[in-house]
Amino acid sequence: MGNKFARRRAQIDDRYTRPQGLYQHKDVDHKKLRRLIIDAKLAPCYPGAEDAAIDLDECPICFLHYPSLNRSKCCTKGICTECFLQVKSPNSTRPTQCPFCKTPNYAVEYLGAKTLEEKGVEQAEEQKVIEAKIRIRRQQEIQDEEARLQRQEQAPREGSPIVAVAAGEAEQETTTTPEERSQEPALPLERSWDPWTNADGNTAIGYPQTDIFTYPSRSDSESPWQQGGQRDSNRHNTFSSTSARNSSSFNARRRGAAWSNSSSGDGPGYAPYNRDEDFDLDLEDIMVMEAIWLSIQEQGNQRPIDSISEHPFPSALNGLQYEIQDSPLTNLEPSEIRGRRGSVTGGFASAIAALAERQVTGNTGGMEPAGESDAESNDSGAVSNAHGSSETQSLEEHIRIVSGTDESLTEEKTEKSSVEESGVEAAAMALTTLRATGSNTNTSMTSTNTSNNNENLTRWIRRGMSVEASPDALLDQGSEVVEAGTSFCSSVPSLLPWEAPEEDDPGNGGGAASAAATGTNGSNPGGAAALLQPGAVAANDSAASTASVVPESFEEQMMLAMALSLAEAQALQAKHGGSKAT
Amino acid sequence: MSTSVPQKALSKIATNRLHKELKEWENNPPAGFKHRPTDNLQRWIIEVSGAPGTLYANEQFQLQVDFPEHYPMEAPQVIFIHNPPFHPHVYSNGHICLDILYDSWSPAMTVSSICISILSMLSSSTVKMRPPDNDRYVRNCRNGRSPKDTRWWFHDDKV
Repeated sequence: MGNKFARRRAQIDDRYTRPQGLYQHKDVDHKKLRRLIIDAKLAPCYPGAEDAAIDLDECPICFLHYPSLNRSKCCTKGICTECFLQVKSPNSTRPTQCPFCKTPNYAVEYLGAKTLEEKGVEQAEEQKVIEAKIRIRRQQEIQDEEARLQRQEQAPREGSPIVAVAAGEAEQETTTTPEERSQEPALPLERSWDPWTNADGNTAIGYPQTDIFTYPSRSDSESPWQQGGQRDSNRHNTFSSTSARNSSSFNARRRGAAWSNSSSGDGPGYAPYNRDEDFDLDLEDIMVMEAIWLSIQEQGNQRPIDSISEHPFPSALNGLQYEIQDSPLTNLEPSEIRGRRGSVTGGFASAIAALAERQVTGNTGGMEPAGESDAESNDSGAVSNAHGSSETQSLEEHIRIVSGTDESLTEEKTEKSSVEESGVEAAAMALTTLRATGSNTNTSMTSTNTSNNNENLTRWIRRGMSVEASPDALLDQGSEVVEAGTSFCSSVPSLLPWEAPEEDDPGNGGGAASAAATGTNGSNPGGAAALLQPGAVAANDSAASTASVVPESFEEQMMLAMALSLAEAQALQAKHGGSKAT
Repeated sequence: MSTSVPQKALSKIATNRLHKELKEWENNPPAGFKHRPTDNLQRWIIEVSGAPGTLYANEQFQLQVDFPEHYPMEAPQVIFIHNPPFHPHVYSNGHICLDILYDSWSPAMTVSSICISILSMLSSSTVKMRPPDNDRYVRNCRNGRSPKDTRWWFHDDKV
């Protein structure tokens, strides 16, 4: 509708072909401007309205409202013609950066007014953001309260909550619910809280929200995959968008688009989100895992345990969402890691274990060349790109056999296949983003742009846990995923506890970075872009670095421990690559 | 403390935008910040609370934000007043070495986003100290020079 009008030449009143006096424009070629407006290359200079209206768009720079805006080619953010003329000074000697995403050579296009559809979507998003914000606030209040009670309760019982993870958890375990457990990190977490760290020097934005990865209360999670889903996914979503909004993240529109995709997919698509929080295993299962955990401890498998106990709760994780990074490529890493991690309780752990296993059996101390890991995936008859997944699967088998958590895992698998579809969509989305930024590996790439990416990817991974479930879909998506997958592979070993002791300090981004860098030295210095990413991740977001390896919940620790013990057992048996074949 | 800024009255567009920013702030203030209401739209005084779990937890600081005539095309001047935090990028005269306040300013940023960046900068600090060149810099600013006139060298990309 508006589109047509705007496109038709003669429709534009001559009055609106020149600036309305919002700014004192210097150096504006009025003739040229007029021609551009008449040719519908730029939005007409309508006088901006003070107040918002359903059919008006707000220019994010002058905050006035217009029937239609220009959109930046890089990030599709709107801008009115007069502000554009200010930002993009014609006589500037150096190319203008996009004020929203900092892409060099800022340019806009005019596509007419937004369609009703677009507006509807936007409004729906905004509504959701508002709702979710309220939820976050409420949630946090509850959380704070609970944490306080918890602290009071636990103070006399045990000395250090940090030590409790390695040792004390055992006794405690039988009496605490997952929810309670999630509270425990409150103390160490707060101490090491550092959501803002990033390597960029740009605006690192964070918001000390502690509730995002905690578990729903017991009553909440009775049927976690049905109930919690919608709500929790909203919470995550908002989170990204709130931080986006607060964070001088200029990329809101694009983010919004991606976001709306994910939020418009109703139903099973939401399910994977829950994986982040619903490890509502039976007591029995927990006890079995506990037994394994303890036996591992007895075996004197000190190293991994030590490092786990030193930063038991990667508060850092939370930062992952809003971290801001330098190179868009780096973004692959955390999300990728998270992907594997978020997928299943054991998914991440087993993926690590798979790598650990190889490390133990074959590549002690060395790095896994990306190609090789790919090949291995192929060997095991899984997907070529989803490196982690094939191994994850096989390890899951092991875990299942050992722990007898048959039921829960089966359930998860069912779940996974049910979300296949959304995974495809999400993956495609993420890929688009990757491509978009892939061409912009420039450091001047803005924080926001990349953080946006990150969020997209994170989102992708979260809901698209189905990466594992729908390998076929990913196969189609080509090399980017492979790349992501493989660089993930290379990054993980370097972050393994025994490889990178320095990483133990979650507060110290630099240390983590160097640790990661050390870890990567072994392999491919030429591929620094990809291989150093763990370093970048670590530095950018110390949170992310630790988070990416350290299990965030007791269950995950269990799984990790089990997986590690399996790996070691296998190594001892000297069956090279035994588990991979299964 | 350099508080004297050669101030030209805000342009119409700046006034308009600041009114809206203020309104938005009131509805949705960035976490950890409090705007101290004044009549002066051109100078905002904002209270900052150090983020929990960081070196500055339970500490309060004050930011003074002065808007130039051509805000938002031009960056506001942002400094800490009274007792600036001990931070490697905060000088004892309150000047803040943060790129978005100077070279990397974009008109798409807002007071709110600046605040978050500053809190982020504080929170990422691992040590409470003044910048190594604090004394020299502060001496050079004695005549009330605006930090916007400083040629900053942004060396720390870990903020």
